[in-house]
Amino acid sequence: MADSPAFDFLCNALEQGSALDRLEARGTVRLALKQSGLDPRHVRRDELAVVVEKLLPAELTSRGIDDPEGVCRQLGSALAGFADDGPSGEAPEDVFARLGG
Amino acid sequence: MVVFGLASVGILFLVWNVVGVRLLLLARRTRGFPEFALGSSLLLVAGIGFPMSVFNGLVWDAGAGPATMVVLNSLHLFLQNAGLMLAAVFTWRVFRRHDTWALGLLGMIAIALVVHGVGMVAGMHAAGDRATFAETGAIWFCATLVLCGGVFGWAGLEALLYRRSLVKRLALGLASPEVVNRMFLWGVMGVASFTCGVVDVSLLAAGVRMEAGSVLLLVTSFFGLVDSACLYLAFLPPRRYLDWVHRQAAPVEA
Repeated sequence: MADSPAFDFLCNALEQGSALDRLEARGTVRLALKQSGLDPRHVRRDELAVVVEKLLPAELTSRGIDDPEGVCRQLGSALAGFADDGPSGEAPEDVFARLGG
Repeated sequence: MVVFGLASVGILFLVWNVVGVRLLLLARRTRGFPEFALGSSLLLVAGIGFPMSVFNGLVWDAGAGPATMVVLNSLHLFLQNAGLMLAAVFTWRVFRRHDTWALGLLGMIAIALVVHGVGMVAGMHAAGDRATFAETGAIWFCATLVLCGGVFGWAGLEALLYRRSLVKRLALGLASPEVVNRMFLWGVMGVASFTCGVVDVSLLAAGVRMEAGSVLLLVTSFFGLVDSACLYLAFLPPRRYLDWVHRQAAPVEA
């Protein structure tokens, strides 16, 4: 199954806005998502925005990226302009939210 | 011990049916398949399956003929096993709908349920009366326990595995404490069902019988209460319990 459009968008933006190549950018975002419990195949724009704000700066620092906070601010701005499909309602957490009534 | 056993059965019957009806009413509103599958499963297994097994036993003891018992037992096992199949479909649909291996597992469960249903009806027909079947039909009792434990065990395992990622999201404010807790309770319920099945099969294999004062009755009753408590708190939680769930998550939410 392919990665989500929001994930691809963020990785492309990170590749263009930093010294990371394509593989490094995607790997860095995947590691951040692993820490957050999110799946690259289903992650949404609003979820990535939180990851960019709270987890990605540390990952970029560990990769020797200059001004990781500045890079993440730019990524956050880019994500804000990305149009997502929104939640499908069929993720396990969505189903279990419904089951509570 | 008998009172404990009866109380456990009574509570399980009540909770499973109330939750089952509630989920079906929810499904009517949302048109969601998972809530329909789970609600139907709970009702078929506990609301219809269990009373029917008791009714069929009484009819059998009263001397009903073989043709009547084949019809009644076939209906009972069809409904009970349909309930188990719906529980398996719920698990596949919610957690593994993109995984081919899970579809294969569903197929194997369906085959096992058909074999179990046909075999048990044939076994009861061959035995002729309940006392004889209690001696000759042990393998079918065990198969029932294995299938119930396996289906709900799979459900519980998938919920607990997925919950691990939700706990990480909770720390970032990307998950609801109620949902995380609900998935945990459903997982514990499934694991309890599986454990009960394993223990019961082991005890039956060791020659322990389900009778007043037996450890088999005690174990089954205990796990029945655990199942009921988890279902109740997951799907009919009191306000005070939900407040406690949020308080527990508060340092993470902050």
